[in-house]
This record gives sequence, structure tokens and C-alpha cells, in this order.
Amino acid sequence: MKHSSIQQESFTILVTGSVLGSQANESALRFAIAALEQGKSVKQVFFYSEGASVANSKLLPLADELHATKLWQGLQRDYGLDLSVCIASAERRGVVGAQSADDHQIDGQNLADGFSVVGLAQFHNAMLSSSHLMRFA
Amino acid sequence: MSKTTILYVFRSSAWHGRSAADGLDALMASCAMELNVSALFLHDGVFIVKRGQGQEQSNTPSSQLRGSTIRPKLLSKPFAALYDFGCEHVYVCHKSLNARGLCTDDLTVEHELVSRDQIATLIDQHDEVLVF
Repeated sequence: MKHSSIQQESFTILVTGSVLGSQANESALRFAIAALEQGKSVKQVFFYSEGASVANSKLLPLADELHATKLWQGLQRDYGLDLSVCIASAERRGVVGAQSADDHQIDGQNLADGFSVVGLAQFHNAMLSSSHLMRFA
Repeated sequence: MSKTTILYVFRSSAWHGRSAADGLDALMASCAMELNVSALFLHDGVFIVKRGQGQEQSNTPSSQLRGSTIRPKLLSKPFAALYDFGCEHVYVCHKSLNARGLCTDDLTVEHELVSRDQIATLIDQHDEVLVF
């Protein structure tokens, strides 16, 4: 029996597909919206590997294209959704928060508002406290 | 409460994007948290643990760029040490291995060969399954 001690249905969402090269963000957004609108608990959305690319504040898709970053930010504002990005995945892809920019003496940060950089331990904590892990690649 | 069991499934070779490397990082984090971790090598993932990779650390001109040797980070070594990290079981898909002309002696890590039916059972038995 999976996580028999977790009573309430809750989700951790893992996004590993790139923001442009896969349908991962669109599918994950649809899933997250459906879950939240039904009052389900989404403990964390964790962006790992190529998934970290969505946290770049300087992504500028065309007007008729999906702006996944903005949609995630909207969910974060409306539902207080935890948008966590793996720090190693993010930095490899040029997505840096204020602290990293300072540490590496890079001019300016580009981590999108509403996203936070964390380590894999935080992902594990969310996964272990959720009844379901959903991965979108 | 019994420890959460996690099955890491590796389906891509070490040279196909960053899947294998990122999967290894996540696996090591799970091991550090003392979870019950297993690894399964499936499809091209069996190439990750193939012997003989990285032996040609060539110094030919094509491998030199502005005086620095272009040397990709090898994953075969950390993957050969999965048990040392705390991984409890290593499984390899028998059919995937055969389909690529490999046999159990070609692999760097001690493993248990499993059939497709056994893989289905493994997936069912683990609390979480992460595919890379």
C-alpha cells in the first residue's frame, strides 16, 4: 500500500520536460488547474532537469503561444502554489536567482517571480508527504 | 512506518541528453535520505552501465580546443558504484540487453536480470517510480 499513513489525496508534480521542446508544461498546467479547482492539495511543483527552463523570466513567446511561466505564476498567486526549481538544473541552463547571481558575480538575476530555487531534498520531502507523484516529461 | 521504496528507471544512454546524469543526481539524493532505492536499466539505458566506456581519452588534435582537452564527464564510474551510494537493488532488462548484443559480463555493476513481466511486478511493488 502506497503511503498508507497519508490520508488526504495530495499531489507533488514533477516537470522534467523543457518549456519549448515538450508538452510537459502544458499537460502539467492542465493537471494542476484541474486538481486545484477540485480543491485537491498540490504540495509542490518541482521543475527538474530540462523542466527548469520554464523559470527563466526572460522567455518571450509569441502572443499566440503558450506562456507557461506566466500561467504558473498565476497559479502561484491564486492558490499559493509552491513552484520549486532544482538549483543545479536551473544554473546549468542559465536561470539564476539573486543569491546565485551574487555568488557568481553575474549581472542581474533572471529567476521568474514566484519561483524559488531549492535542492533535491525539498523535492523528496514534498514527494514523501504526498499521496501521488505525477511526472510530466 | 516502513521506508518508502523508489524505483529509478533509466531508459536513455549516458550520451543522450542529461537524463542519465539528472537521474543519478536524484537517485543519490534518495540514497542520502536513506530511502529504499532500486535502479532498473531498460532500453538504451543498459548502455549506461556498459564496460569499456571512456577508455579512449584521446589526445588527438580534434580533442583539443585552445589547449584544453575536451573530455566529457563520464557517468560509467558513478553508475558502477551504485551500491556504494546505498542503492539496494540493481535490475537490468534481459530483453533490452539481448536486443543490443550485450550480455551480463559486459556490464560494470552487479545486477539481476529481469523479464518484462518481472518489470511490471517491480513497478507495482515500489511506492514511487521515477523514469529518466
